Amino acid sequence: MHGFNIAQLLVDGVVAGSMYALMASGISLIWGTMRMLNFAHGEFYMIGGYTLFFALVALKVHPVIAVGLGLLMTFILGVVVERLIMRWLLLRAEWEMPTLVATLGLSVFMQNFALRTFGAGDLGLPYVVPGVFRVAGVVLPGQRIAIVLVAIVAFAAVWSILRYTKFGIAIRATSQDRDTAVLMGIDFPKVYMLTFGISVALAALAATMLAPIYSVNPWMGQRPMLKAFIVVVFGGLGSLEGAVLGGMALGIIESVGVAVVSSEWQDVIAFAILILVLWIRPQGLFGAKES
Amino acid sequence: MKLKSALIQITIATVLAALVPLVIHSEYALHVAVLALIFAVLAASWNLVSGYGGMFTFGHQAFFGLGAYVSALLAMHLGISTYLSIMIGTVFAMVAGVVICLPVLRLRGAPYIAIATLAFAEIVKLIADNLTSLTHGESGLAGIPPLSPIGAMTFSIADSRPYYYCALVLLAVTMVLVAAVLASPIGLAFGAIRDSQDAAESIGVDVTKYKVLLFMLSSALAGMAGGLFAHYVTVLTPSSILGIDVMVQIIAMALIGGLGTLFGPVVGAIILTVGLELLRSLGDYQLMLYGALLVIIIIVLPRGLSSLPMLIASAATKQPSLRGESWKHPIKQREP
Amino acid sequence: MALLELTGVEAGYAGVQVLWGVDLELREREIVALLGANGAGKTTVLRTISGIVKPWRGGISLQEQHLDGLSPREIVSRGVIHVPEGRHVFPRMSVVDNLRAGAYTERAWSHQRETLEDVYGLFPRLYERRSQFAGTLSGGEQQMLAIGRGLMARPKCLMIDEPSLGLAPKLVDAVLDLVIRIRDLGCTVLLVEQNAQRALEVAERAYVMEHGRILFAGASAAVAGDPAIRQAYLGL
Repeated sequence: MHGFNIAQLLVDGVVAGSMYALMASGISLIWGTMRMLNFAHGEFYMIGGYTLFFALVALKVHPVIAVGLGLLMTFILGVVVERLIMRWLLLRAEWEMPTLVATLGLSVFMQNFALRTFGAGDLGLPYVVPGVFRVAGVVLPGQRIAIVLVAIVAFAAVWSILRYTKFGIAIRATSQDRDTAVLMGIDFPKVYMLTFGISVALAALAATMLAPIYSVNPWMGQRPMLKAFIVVVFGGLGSLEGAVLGGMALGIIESVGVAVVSSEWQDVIAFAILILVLWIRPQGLFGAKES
Repeated sequence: MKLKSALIQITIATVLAALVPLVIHSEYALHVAVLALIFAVLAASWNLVSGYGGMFTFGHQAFFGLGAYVSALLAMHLGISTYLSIMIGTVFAMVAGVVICLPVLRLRGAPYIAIATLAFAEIVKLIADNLTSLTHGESGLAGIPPLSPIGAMTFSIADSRPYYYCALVLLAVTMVLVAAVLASPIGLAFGAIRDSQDAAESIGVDVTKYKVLLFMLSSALAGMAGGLFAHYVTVLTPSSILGIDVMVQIIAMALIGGLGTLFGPVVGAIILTVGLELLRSLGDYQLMLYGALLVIIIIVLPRGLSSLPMLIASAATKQPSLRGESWKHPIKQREP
Repeated sequence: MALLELTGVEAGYAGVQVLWGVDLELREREIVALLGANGAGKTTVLRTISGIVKPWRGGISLQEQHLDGLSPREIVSRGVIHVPEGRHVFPRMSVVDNLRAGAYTERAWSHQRETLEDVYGLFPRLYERRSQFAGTLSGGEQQMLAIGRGLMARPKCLMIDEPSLGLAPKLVDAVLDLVIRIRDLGCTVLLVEQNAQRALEVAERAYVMEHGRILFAGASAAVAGDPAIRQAYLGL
């Protein structure tokens, strides 16, 4: 390809953006429900990546099962972490700082655990979805099409759960007024536990989709998590729609931005804009103002 | 704590610490001690903004790294005295502190402050990564000159002793400054701010001005520690001094000693640096241990070791303080 | 036979005792008013019954089965429902989702449709606004929603905290009217009110609290007719 094909850049942006959105929606879900920020979100992403790798390479299972295993493994780990660590902190009167510290500690622990256990090397994976399609000069590898489809299905699922199920009502009620939700007989510790599990499973889903494109290593979750932070700040913490819009916006801006700024300086600009956005609109660009 | 008694305690501690190199002759042990002192400065300076100022930042490593890189580069390329270069690095860190504290001051809520400061530290790290012609990125900036000689005292990588005294002086100065700030009207105002920002504002405390001052002092001290560190280890990489790992160590140290206490962060830095060095067999598992420690401390001892006597006392007398709260409702309403 | 019974209940928050031996009895199908000045401990009584505050001493029983020590969820599923002061509807959930949240326990959830129809019958206004966000309702409508949400749990005993707070006199009438209709449907109502005059008009019996103790218990008429109580504790 010569020069920049704007259609190609847009498509690439949507692909990247849908993964940012998946990461960000998990962070937003935890924030909205439990009012805490999960600094270890990227490490759950990593767990998803490693599980996929071992399921595909060691167990040699079908890719769909491997992805399922990645989600399941991460979900269980998330539930355990919530039950064993977060629970104690979230029940305190002052929980914001302690949960930040605990998840940061967890993040460093998990990263270095992976480093010791699996080593520092990059583990490569074959594309789960083969094939490359060409439409009007735009190159579309099957894997990337699958990424977008999976993201759409995941968002539809999360949205439907929140909107239509009993558990969704419990999540929304807990996030809007926890103390009153208790009066309805809603068992908010259970809501917290499952929400945490679902949220980190969304990160694992992103990882299982992206691992074949990038690679699996102990730090693989760092970048996506920082990107997701940018997205949730743009979209407003706690807003699922904001996470999706913000994710897409960041993906497209980054992709198209390569034409203007080299990629190693893009993150610098993105983080600077993040700080600027927080400065001007602490509730996010799309977020509603919390009084 | 009254300023006078604080100063007496700092003096005694400094004199005692000054005797350490007379007892310990192992170069390796002294090296660990120097690192402990430098980290103590970092933890104590972070404690200023987080423990006293109530702004829980996650980007303190940025000031440390800025001080280190600026001083190292100036000394290498301009050949100026390392003390001058450290001062310039300190000013750089301080200015950066002012720049980042402006948005931070507008933010209410720990997560936003955490994200903003972390993003700032990430910017500094990315710049250090990207400016390879200056910093050589991850391959490392080597050949940083050791500290310039002071009179008859010369510095070299082979001898940690002179550095030990330098780091001790820096720590003592840091402690005196922290104690002085706490005893000043600023410190008193911070008591009020910590209890309630709104109340402090309503009694006419200029919260913003004091917070900026605190931020400036804190980042300047971290920058100075960075400068000393650069001319001590003489090799810098972005990940070793600008990574989130550094922040994790600082938080662990401050928390284990007791956030918002004068000596807590220093004690924490010494315990963790020396303690983990003693557990050398763990070797590569150090950072894992730091991570696990953070989680455990925050659950079991949120106020650090300084609260241990109180906890034991209340457990011994079986105070009924938690009865009737079994549904453990936070007093704070989570959403208006 | 007593439906709900409190004997010698002592409770408080973080080591500060609020209730100092509260005895209270609710019978089937009656409206009981719990009166007293601000800070007398009325809301704490409700919070203790609903399990949010655990009693330090004393017993709470529903149809002679222990309630004390159970979790709020178990207490709700046994049919004791607490409608909190200040309405506390879920502002960014639709009216119907607020109501469905009220039917969260297993038993109530399976009867959701019938109950929802009953509640819409009682509150036609909620039916009209069913897909609106609860936060957009007026104060009176939010109070209706809060009570309706409580009814969704199919309560044996509904405890309503300060339903008339901040409502115009006309709406107060409407709310208290509803309380009577709810009782007539077979539900016992414990009504906490600062507006003692109005509460005594609808309640059969009343308890008067001060400093965490029950000072007086008796028929509403007796309470209303006692000048000393009226003046000292009810500000009438």
